Amino acid sequence: MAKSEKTDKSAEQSSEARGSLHPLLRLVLSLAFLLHLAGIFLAPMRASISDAYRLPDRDAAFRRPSADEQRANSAATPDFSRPPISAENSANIWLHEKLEPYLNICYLNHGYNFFAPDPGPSLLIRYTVEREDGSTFRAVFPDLKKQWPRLRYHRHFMLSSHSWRVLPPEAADAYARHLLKVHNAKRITLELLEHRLLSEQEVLDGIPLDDPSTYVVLGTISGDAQSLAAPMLEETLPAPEEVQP
Amino acid sequence: MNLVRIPRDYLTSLVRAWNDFWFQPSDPAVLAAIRICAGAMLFYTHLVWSLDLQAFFGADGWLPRDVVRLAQGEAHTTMWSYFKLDLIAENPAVLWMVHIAALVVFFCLAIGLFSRTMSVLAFAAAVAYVNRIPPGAYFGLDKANCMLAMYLMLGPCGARFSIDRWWKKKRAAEPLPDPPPSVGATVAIRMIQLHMCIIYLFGGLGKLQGWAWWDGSALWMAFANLEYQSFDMTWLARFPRFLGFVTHVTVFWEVFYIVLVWHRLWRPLILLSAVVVHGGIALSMGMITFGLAMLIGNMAFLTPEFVNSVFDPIVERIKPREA
Repeated sequence: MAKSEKTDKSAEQSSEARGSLHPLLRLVLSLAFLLHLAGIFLAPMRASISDAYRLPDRDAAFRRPSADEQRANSAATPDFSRPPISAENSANIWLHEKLEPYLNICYLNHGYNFFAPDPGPSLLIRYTVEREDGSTFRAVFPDLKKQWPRLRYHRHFMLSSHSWRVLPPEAADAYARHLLKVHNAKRITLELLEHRLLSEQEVLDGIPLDDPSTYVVLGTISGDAQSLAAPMLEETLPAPEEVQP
Repeated sequence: MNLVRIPRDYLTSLVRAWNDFWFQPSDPAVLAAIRICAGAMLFYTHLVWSLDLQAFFGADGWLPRDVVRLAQGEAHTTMWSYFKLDLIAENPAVLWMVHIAALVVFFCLAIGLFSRTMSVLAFAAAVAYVNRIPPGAYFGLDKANCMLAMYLMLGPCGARFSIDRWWKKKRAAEPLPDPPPSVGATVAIRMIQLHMCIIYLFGGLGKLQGWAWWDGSALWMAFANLEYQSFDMTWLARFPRFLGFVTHVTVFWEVFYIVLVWHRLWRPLILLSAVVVHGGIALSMGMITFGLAMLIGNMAFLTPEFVNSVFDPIVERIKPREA
């Protein structure tokens, strides 16, 4: 009985404290909260679905398939183990599409795959520029010695990390044009390097993390400001090549 | 009779709990503390952009606007940013003016000068920066920064620990009482809490899509990544079982954060784990800003009493002295 009285009193106090808000306003706000929460829940969910299913609209936006890939895709047998999904037959995608403008405006339309699905090898970009006087200059970004503070280094690291798969091939051309301008050079070569991770045993065997054998060239482009058109994709080289860092 | 009463009582309790969760006014101390930390983080994050402003936001930088438009696809139209305008992107002087204005806004937010107005401007500015660069130079820090800036707008973030409060006290004829509890503060804090839960849930679920978080090798893969390394942790190669254990604990912590952080007894342990996880990432993998931004988000689960006990003495010590 005493407990019941206490509960009633507490509920009464709560109601009193909320008294300043009209019930109708509370209802409207509640609906707005639910829609917002649905949006911030569906955005990472959609990002995960896109990763798993490679939704055509997302893929087209983020990566232009090469001619070889297009041929391979058209010849491939449809994957019946994963039925096609779309806004027409998926409630969460339908609602996400309705909320997408709001999520984009507020920068909420993204996933939270930090070091997921697996922490992978790093991607670096090594470039060699040739100046008008014939001299050459070679560097790699990101470079912890040149980019300080750490946040600045990380921004450059993200540039190289997103240069493959995430950004369109035109981004590599843009990087090249930017570096040509910065170094006042006439010609540039960019190489996309994958820095392979060592196993515990390899480290225990004394192999350093920056051993030359751990760097593999995934792709390369070269040219001057006018002729940078080739996409920076793995297909540009026939096979990975081990290089000196 | 019970068939009617039981569901009715349940629904009544449900509505009451919902109302208490969202609309019970609370002390704005926690929101004000988050304002200081998030404002400082926003200021620092954007101050660092100053070192490469033209290269990242100018017309001929790393990511020209046409490449960003192509990369963002259909979303480009709604991913608004004033840095996409010709007037700003193609005029270095205007670009710098806009940038300095944003830095002033972030600084004012941190110190609590015109806090509410600055919180709205800070959110708009933070989104303008971040919508210009992805998918390129962005990462988790930007997501946390914008999330915090957004929710600071919802409540009286300058009601405590601020220049606004100090000014109000100075002008008042009598000593001011503590700021009143606020529904806006509750809504803002609840939103940060729920958003943090969603971030960790999907962070954990995303990890479960990979094999390295299942077989326990993920932490090693992170430590063996030279580009992330700030301290050499490869000596842990001698302790693979320990690495596997910590890998699994990390995933469990992320996946179950959404449940355990609401429990009175688990909450301190979960928040302490956040300090260990993000502190560890910050120190060993060089992601100090990201780690701190996530810890600022976790502050939403602190009690006003605890926040007051920490911030009141600090504010008392640094507040401007009377002449």
